[in-house]
Amino acid sequence: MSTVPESCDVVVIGGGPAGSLAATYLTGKGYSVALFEKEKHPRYQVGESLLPDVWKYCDAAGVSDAIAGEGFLRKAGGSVDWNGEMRRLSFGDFGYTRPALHVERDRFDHILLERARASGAWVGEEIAVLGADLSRAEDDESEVSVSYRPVGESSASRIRCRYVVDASGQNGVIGRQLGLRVFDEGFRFMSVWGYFDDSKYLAADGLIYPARSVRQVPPTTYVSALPQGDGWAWLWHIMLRETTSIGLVVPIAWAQESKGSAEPWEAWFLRQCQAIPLLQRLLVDATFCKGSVRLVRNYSYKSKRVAGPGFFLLGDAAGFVDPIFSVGVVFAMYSAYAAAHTIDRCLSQRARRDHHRSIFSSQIQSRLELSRSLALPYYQERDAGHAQARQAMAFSSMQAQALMYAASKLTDRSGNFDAMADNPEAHRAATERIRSLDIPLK
Amino acid sequence: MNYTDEQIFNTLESFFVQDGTGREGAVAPDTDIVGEGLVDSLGIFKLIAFVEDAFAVTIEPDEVLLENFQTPRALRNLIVKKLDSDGARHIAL
Repeated sequence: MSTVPESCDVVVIGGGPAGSLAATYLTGKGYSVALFEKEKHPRYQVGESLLPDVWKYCDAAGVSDAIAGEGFLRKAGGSVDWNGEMRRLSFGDFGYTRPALHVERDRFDHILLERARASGAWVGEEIAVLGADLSRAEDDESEVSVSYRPVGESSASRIRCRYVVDASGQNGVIGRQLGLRVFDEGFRFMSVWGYFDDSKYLAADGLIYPARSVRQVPPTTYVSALPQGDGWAWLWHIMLRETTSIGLVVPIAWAQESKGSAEPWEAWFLRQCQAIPLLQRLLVDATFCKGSVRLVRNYSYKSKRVAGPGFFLLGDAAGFVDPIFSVGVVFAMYSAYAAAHTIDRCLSQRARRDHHRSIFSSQIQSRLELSRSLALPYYQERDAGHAQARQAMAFSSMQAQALMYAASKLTDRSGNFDAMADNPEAHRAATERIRSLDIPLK
Repeated sequence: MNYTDEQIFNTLESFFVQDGTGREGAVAPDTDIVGEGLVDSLGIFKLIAFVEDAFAVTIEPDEVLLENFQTPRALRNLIVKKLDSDGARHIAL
């Protein structure tokens, strides 16, 4: 690895999809970028289900051929078992011509990071960013100083830049430093997940296929409510090329009540999986990957501000909601695009940088609010949130709107969305495209 | 700076032609540029920047609404309102 530069236009914290794409877009606009990633790619990451919308961001980054060439599994749609209501939808029915994907995130994220490097960004792996000095960000010099420390070294160093982009995911380096993160107190959730080999799966035709068919017959992402979960605890089943990702998202209180005090999380996880009849059918010949169970607490948050003098927050560093509708990576990429555009505007029209930042903040917060309305129960700022969500919805394509409306109808948890979703055409398109799923649960 | 409606519509059309999302002659004053997919959640950033630079106006975050961006005519109305409030005079033809 070459020496860390002393200065650059933009420092990007984090080499996930948000950081790598932001770096690629910014170098494309002629800016010098240094990206710091605390791990060494390829590295493990959960969140394997991607919507077809990712392609337009990959196109803009010039990385679509590399993604397509990797041969990730195509995802045909979704299958949902919500308290006995079994329904399915297929992306093809919504007019999407490019596939959704089930990706191994270590591989997917690595391809994006290599794209950033090839685009001319300086990429440093195994370097942790400790924080940023933003006190002179609005001076004439507009100078930000970011401190970092290579893994295994004891002393920190500094790099000067004009903007710092926080794409550090749940770590939220800058958001945490500035105290911007706000957790949803009424929505204290956690996620526990693991991997199984040789699981069967549901395809878009509503039939069950063995794991060996997965390259010939594209899988759906299968989602199920958990019994006794009151509609808030749910499970994902995502086929990958060599294994299957299965995870639970549950209220922390519910998990604590249902878990024996001496029971390990792995045993609790397997017990929950066994309580779902359809999942049991899929797992009949499957092997659990021992030691694969992981968990995350404090699951849902947003940020008081997503941009300020000298900084921008992207992707999970800006906000995170329950991943039931697979919007995380798309949001990461969207915010990367928005940040690169806005930084370019700020640097070319410095007198108007407050204004440019305000457009970024408004668009990002609206988009987050739309995701929150789909996935969260009642939340306090309901009315203000609805106005923002409606604003983001307005500029989504009819395809994307119909898909959101359909997603909202597959579970009984989208009350906030229903309260602001008033497009009759999208309602009709969504209703027409939802099909029943007839699987005998014996 | 004064603009005729025709100048405004031609300028807006040139955005879509340059952007590659619209062909010449394909974007009329009442074309539903959002519904037809000429502007989406990404394109809106570029369109805001274009309008601000081309007409020297500032579009506020709370003006980024469908009612202001759905057609070139809606956008023209927003631009004219901005120009008027900025003290410039718009010539309606």
